[in-house]
Amino acid sequence: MTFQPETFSMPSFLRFLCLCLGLIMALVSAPVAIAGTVATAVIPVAVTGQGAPFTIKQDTSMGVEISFDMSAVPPGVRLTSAVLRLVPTSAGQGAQFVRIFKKGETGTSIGGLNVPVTPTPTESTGDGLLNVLADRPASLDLVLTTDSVRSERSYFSYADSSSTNRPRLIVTWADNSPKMTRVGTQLRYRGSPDDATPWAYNAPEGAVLSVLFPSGGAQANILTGPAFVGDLVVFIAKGSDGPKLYGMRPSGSVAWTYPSDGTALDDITWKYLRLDDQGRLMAFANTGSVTVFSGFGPRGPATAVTKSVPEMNVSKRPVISAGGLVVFRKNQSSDAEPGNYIYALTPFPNLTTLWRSPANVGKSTAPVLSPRLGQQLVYVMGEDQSAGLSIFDNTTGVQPVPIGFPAGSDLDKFNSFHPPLALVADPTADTPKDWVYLSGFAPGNGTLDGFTDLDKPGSPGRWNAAQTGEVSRCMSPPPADGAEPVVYCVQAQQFRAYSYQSGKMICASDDAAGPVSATSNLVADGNGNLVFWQEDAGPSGVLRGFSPTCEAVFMAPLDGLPAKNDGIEVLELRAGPDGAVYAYSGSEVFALRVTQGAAAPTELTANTQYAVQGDMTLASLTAPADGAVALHAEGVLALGDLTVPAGAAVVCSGRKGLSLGANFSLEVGATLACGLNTTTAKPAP
Amino acid sequence: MAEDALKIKLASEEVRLGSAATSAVTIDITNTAAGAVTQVLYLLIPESFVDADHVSAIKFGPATLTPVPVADAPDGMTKYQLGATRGVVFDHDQTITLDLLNITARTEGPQTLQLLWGTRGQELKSTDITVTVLGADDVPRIVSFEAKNSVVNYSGKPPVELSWETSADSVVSLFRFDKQLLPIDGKRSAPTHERDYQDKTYYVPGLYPYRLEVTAKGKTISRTIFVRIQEAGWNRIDCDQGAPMNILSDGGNRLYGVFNSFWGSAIYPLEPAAGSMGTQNEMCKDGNVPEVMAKSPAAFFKGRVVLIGGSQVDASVFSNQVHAYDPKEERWEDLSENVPWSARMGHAITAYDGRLWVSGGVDANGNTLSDVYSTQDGKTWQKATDLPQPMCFHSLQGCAVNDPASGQSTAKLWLYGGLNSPLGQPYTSMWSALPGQTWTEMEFYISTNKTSPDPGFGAPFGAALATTLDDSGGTSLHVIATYQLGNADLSSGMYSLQGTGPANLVKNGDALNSSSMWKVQKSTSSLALPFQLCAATFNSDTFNYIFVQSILSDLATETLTFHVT
Repeated sequence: MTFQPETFSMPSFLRFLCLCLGLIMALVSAPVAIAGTVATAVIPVAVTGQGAPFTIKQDTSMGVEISFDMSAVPPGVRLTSAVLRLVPTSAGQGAQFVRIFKKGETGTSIGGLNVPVTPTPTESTGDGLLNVLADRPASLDLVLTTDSVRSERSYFSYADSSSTNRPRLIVTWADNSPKMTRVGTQLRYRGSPDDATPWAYNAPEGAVLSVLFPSGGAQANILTGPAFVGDLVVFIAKGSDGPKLYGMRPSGSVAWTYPSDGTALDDITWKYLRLDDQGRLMAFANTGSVTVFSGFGPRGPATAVTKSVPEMNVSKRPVISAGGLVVFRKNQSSDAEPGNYIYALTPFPNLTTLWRSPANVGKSTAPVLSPRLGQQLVYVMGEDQSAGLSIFDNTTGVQPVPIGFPAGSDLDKFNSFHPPLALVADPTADTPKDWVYLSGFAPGNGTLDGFTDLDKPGSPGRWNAAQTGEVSRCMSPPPADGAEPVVYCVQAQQFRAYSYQSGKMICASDDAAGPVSATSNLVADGNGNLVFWQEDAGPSGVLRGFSPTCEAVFMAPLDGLPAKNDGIEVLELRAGPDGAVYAYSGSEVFALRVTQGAAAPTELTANTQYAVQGDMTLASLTAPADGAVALHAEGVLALGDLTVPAGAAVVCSGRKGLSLGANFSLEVGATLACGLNTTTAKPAP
Repeated sequence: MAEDALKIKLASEEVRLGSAATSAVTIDITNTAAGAVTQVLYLLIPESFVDADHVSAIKFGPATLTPVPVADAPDGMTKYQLGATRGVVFDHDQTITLDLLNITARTEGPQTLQLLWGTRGQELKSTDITVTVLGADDVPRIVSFEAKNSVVNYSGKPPVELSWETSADSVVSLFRFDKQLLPIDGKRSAPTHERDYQDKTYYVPGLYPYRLEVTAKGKTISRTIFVRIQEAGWNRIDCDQGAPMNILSDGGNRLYGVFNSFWGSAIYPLEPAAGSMGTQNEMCKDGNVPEVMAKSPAAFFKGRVVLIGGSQVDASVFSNQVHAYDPKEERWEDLSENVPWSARMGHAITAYDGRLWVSGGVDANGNTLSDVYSTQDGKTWQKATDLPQPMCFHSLQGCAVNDPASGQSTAKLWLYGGLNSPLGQPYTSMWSALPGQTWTEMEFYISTNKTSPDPGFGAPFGAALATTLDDSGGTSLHVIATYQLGNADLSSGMYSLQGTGPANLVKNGDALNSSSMWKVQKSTSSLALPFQLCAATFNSDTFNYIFVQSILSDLATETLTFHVT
């Protein structure tokens, strides 16, 4: 193989050569960028009084010292605000005005706290804290003083048993990251949502199922569902050599395992994986700990840090905000141990309790984060009619409105609820707001209603009328620029699309589609097609695909996915970075790939996946220079005289073989990653 | 998410063809739910009653709405939104009054208005309100209803003298508030023609509505006038507009008030010479104050109400914006561009010597300021000599000093009170300076004992300065302040010091003489709270008024406090 300055050619004798080339990584910015603000909060590591309530009063010569570890705020981001929040322990004799000084610089204050007589949480004013943090110090040491007369006030410190009361520094920064990113041959939406992939499925017509892990009929226990790190599918599984973190290529080969030194991870109750925005992988274990893997390279994570989080006992997957705050619902494990509370942890490396819901929220759905970057809210829906909807400010735990069902809805007539679906109504508005969709269901019955301004006092805006009928967990794909979002659901045995603001039904599947139900979440591709699992159709279930206009585009019988009675109430589908959709059971990790008809493509479109169930032979095509292309064949993939120009990225695999033409060319600045697919195919029933 | 429950009652009506000035309908809307509710409200008016072009004023709560119809009205109706799109918050048991004023009715006979109300996003309830349009000569009729003096001095408790004339063969009733004054002694009706009814049964000073109800042929109409009973010294009356944030004199016959209410903040004209004090009047057209300026200090400067910077009282609201409202042009101008001074609160401003002055305050980082700026045009600011020390919550006022010997008058700025930080240590000194120049500390003399610079009451926690013209044409500078009295509670009282004239203020080192003494007056407004004060003066033909308002961040009271001499 000889590289020429601009191109290289592949002689014909190299046909059927397995290629795993990552020749030149092209980092391509996304086509769409949405600015926003990310918020996070840290609690002090030291305060005068060593954790006991501290007093601020006039004539305290030294003032109160309070220090923060600022390593939780990622480097390189542009900070936009920083405020100190204190909570008085009780009402005071008078109000108090507290001045904030940088330790050692008591000439000019850098912030003020106007604390009322009532014990109201108070946030500082001014830009002095922000200016001090502009230099990105590793720690921030402050001194608090007051000149207020007759107003000696006491404040909660970091050791207070009520975490919501603890002082905190709330920091925000600008997030100008694009909505979609391409790293090498991988496409991801910002935040790596599980239910949407930027890859567009070319002419979807069917689907194939394979087992990614374990291979060759080996036995394993899958301890966590998959997450996606770079172009790898990552999960924790326990084989004969104990629990390990696996990094697997979508083609089926193991890239690395961790630990790699012959040891294993602790044999504990690993539950869930989540990747944060800083590329760290958090593994949540129900033994009261969180292990954070970071520094991923060709041999896996460089470091793994385990933090004790005694409250970590979860049966719903925690979420991580863009600012690194971890939000989860703690299970009620025993009468003696409180549970069913919503918790938030400060960002790594601290992972200490930032707040806890003031009340038990009962059995509830997983917490859902507002997609609004500027104001991060947490929505949690009670599942047992004891609570209703809870809304929390992510940085403070404050509930802006009382817990409950929105007045006038029929939600309180149901015992089962899906997690709320939240979307940004108008991301370009000066003050964007959420639309939140709440759904309750029972066999043969259900209600779905849309609300806005739920976090504000007074009556929320809402759909003109609720939609009735048994309903699935709905989803709304990221809309194209300028387009309005659409809410998709399976309801009343139809696949339906609803106007996000009015709730008016835009379209519904017709009778030819037959009765439709969803035994999984809905996953959207880059064209807005929706796929989901319907267990009660076909001999052992079908993967269904619908267009954005509610036309049934395929119904693929598949065999081998776990049934509800396997202990999985609803199958979780997660969109991988390579265009495949992943699922898991207690013993296997599955890959589902949506396929087109037998015809090979005659041209290649950016950010599109071309997959066939047999062979695929390309003519002399040129990959688009402005995007990525994925090519997959369950038979032989013949790339022929494909030209991969600079800027283009191609990922490809063939289950039975891979070939190149004599005039295949790969220009400098292009990316190619190809290999044989070694996953274990599951034959159609 | 409480249940909504509004009770809607037609409180009074008098609508007559060709009598727009006296045609009015009043509807009381009361929240009877257990707690506060937020309700959206729409008013539907039949076009056969008043067409969209002839609705003069819809007054809902303290605000008079610009009657702009909204869409989706049924055929033959005009629809108006009452309050914000999100709805109006009704506290428990709160009544908000809806007034239709200056009605130009189109046809005689009964007309049914509709009030749509309910929770936003849900189906609204509908309440019909039927009023009757009388013909020009129909009975019942109120020909006249007047008070001889709409402002009555409480001293000696003189009667309120009322006269009226109604249609003959009518049943007439007179009420003060809801107390029926006439008829009495089992009579069916008060006189239909009364020239000198005297009410002596009021007990305390205040603002009294007198309502005359007239019934004939099964139809009742009513009309209300206001009489203010005031006493020499301090008075307090309720006002519909909300909590006063600023009271400003235009230097002539007008006062303007900036009031905060559930509607937000707005400018209203006040008429101290009228019985109602203007508290029933509508707000200045388009007089809604920008939200961020709701508690900002204001000055009347070159024909405009100018709001400057952040809050007077709330140490969480900082701004360096400047907005001016012209009552004649009825429009706002944003003068914030090129303001050189930093965002602040707790600053003091005044208009004097052809300039607008801003001084001190606290910046958002908690630093107390000492800078002083002035402008002649409201747009271009010049830096002046700093205050003698960083201070906030102080009072700044201009008042000329007369030299009795030469007869010359010298413009001076006066500075009193203030704190070293919000809620901090009070300053006790008074300072004066030639405008923009160096400040000189004054000294108080009480009797023959020099108590400089403390006038003897303790530290002022809120202070205002005001000037009045005395009978001889001279100017008096008044110091109105709240003091901490020893170890007593801060809210124990409000006191005023009244100087006999700025010329007689003595400077440090001057010889003491009797003309330099200050008269000390104790306020009767014992409920005044020790916080930032604002003051304005108004001279009518009969009385001299000093309006003083405690401006509170979260304890605002919807009353006007004024001193009468």
